[in-house]
Amino acid sequence: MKSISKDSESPQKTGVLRGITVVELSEFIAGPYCAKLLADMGAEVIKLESPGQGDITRRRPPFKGDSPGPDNSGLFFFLNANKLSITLDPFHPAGKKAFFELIAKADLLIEDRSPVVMEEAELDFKHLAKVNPRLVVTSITPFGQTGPYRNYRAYPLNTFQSGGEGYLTPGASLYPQRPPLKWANFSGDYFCGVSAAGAALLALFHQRATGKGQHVDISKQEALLDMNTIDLLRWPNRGELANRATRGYKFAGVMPCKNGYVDFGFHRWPDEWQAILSVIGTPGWWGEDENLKDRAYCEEHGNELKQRLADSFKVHTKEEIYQKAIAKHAAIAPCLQIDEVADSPQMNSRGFFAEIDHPNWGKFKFPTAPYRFSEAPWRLRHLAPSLGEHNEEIYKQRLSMSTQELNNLKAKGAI
Amino acid sequence: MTKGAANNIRVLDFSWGMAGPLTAMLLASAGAEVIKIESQQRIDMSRTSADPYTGKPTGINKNSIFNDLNRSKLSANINLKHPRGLELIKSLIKISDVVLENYSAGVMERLGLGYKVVSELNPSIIMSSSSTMGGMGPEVGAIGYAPLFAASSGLSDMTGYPDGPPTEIRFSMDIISGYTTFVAVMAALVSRQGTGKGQYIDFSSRESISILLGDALMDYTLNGRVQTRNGNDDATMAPHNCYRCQGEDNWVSIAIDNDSEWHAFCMAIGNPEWTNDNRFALQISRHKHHEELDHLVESWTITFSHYQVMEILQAAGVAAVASLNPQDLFTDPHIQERQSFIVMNNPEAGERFSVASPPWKLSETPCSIYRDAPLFGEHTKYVCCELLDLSIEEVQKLIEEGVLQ
Repeated sequence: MKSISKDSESPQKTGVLRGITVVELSEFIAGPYCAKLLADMGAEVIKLESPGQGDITRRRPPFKGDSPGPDNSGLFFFLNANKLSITLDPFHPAGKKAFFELIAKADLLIEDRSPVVMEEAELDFKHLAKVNPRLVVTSITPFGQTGPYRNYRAYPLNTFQSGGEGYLTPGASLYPQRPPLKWANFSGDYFCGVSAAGAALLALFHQRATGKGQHVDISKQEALLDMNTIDLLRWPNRGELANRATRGYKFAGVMPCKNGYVDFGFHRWPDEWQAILSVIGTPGWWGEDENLKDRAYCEEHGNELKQRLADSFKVHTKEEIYQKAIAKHAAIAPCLQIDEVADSPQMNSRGFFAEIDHPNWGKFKFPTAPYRFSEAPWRLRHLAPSLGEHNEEIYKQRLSMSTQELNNLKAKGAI
Repeated sequence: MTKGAANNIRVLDFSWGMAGPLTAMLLASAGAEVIKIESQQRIDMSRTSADPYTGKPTGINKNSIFNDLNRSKLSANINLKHPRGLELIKSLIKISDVVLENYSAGVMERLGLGYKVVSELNPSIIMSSSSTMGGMGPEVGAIGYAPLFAASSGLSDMTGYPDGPPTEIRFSMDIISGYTTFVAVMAALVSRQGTGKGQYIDFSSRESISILLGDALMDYTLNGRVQTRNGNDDATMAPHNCYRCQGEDNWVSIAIDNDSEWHAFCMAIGNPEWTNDNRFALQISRHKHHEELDHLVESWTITFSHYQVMEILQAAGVAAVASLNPQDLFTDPHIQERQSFIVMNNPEAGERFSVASPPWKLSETPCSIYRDAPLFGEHTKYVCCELLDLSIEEVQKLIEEGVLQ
């Protein structure tokens, strides 16, 4: 693992997105994550936070040492390292002028406010494009810019339930009478940020080729809808309504073992099925029972087979099973707990984690990105900023404001 | 038709399955010319697998998964194991912008198409290699179907009821992986606009899921805490759950963060007596007593349909959204207005519904479906004659020699 400490080089000089300026008017998960992906790749991201409190994730755990504080949240750090923070209320008349000056020089605005709020404040795309025709505006909202739900409020839990995957989670449910669930923590909303980043980059690509900006409308509901088309489309195409109980394999899936769980399946029949039997030490079955070579028979007797498999899995640890599975090319993987992910030899050998030396937290492992660019490795350029840490730098140097002008804005509550 | 943002980009797509073809489809939807390199020796598994709706084999041009993930692409059948086939590919690499592949690690090198060769042929090319584990490391040989990397990423363990097993998560894992690869490829393309230089992207699908657990990973690396599945519980919000409504398996999600949202909620449901309970007066105390609170909230939601609860609470500014099942989604007025479902009419597979993908609405360069998924090898002649300037006679000869199919 490479040790990475805060580096003094300016962000414009490194990373694949060097030279791109992003203004972020968003909070919580999806918008900040979209901007984080770009910041990590070298874009300069100026995060606007509301004067006083800042982003909601500053007040959310995990806190280092479980000690709450605006600069002590791991969630905030994860989402906002490599960004600059200024306080600005663009809905305040005095703040709006500074906001326009910022976006006049920006390539991309990422915003997550409700469409009606932006329109009433005359901060919608139509008005922003007049300030800067090159500006790409990426709006990330629960239901998009149009349609009857456009101004509906939704937290990540709600968003996840709007897109179809929520109703069907958990799949292969043992408790179909229980409520639908979210995925772990905010993972659904993180994905919405990924989807939005893809669209924003496409619009930036166009902007850099033609000089033209545009409005990118991201509905989180639609981003999630796109994830599980197979189960969704069973309804209109086949008249079959999938639910949490029916969504699962007949005799594969999550299986308890000696010290946890594994997941197994097969695509190529019968060799991958045979490989699974050889991993759990029951190749005898293969010779003894001709029926086991017949997929239709196996599916028909899925429950019975699952019980037989369970008896064989439970005497092995997930590590034993996984090692054998790799050797025998069987489709089995351990259900890793989060500590096992952090300690994963595979992920550590690939440099998925960077070691960060934080002035208040000390050294810790930080998850970086799922891609390695040959020309621009992931690096930490800034720690997550304190609230308004870059006010002086941005307002005075970038926007050429005098100390008095800055103080005026502060006095009015715009900063 | 409006030109897409990537209309001057050519992509060679060696990928198969789901995640890789999705990345290429996103580029194709943005207007890129995407040439899917296929061969009889290695037919895309989604052409040959059972149709997800019927469970039966379909024939290689009719599989609905294949047809959704390969819209707007061209298909050229070129035998990579034939020296002349490899030559043709190398000629294509010289006139392309992006190479996408998701073979097992090392296969492209063995075919003679590793990044070193590719970048020597075309220094401005962007090559993305995507696999479950990435291109190196001790687990590089592990099989990488979607539910397996959901498991090894940590997502399965962290999703589910606290007293139940981890959750198997399938197809959507490939979709996330495919979108994440698209982000990396687009960033490399934007970079190239400034530098003229291409680069190599080593991508791991498993990592594309683990990174979505960044906050839980940090709780472990900062505090040593091992988070695990906890149903719908949130660290600070309450109520924060799905609540049963009238009808069969109908649910609504409600999430309330601060006290002003709580007061709006109480008012909207008519301030029943229990809302005055001291235990629910403050956020921290509501959170502590969230199980009791859940029962009481449900005693109200059960008297309405999931859509009614959503309407009542949204009117009061409370974050409440129905848990929409596939049937709800298909008939939902919002979804209908945004045309999130579309009708595909494939010449061999016939008419069926699909989802608008990618779902982004770009005002200046909208994404489009430029054509149906290609028939197997439909554009071999186009690629050879129009792009590589071969004559029809030469193409015929290459077909006879087994180079083209």
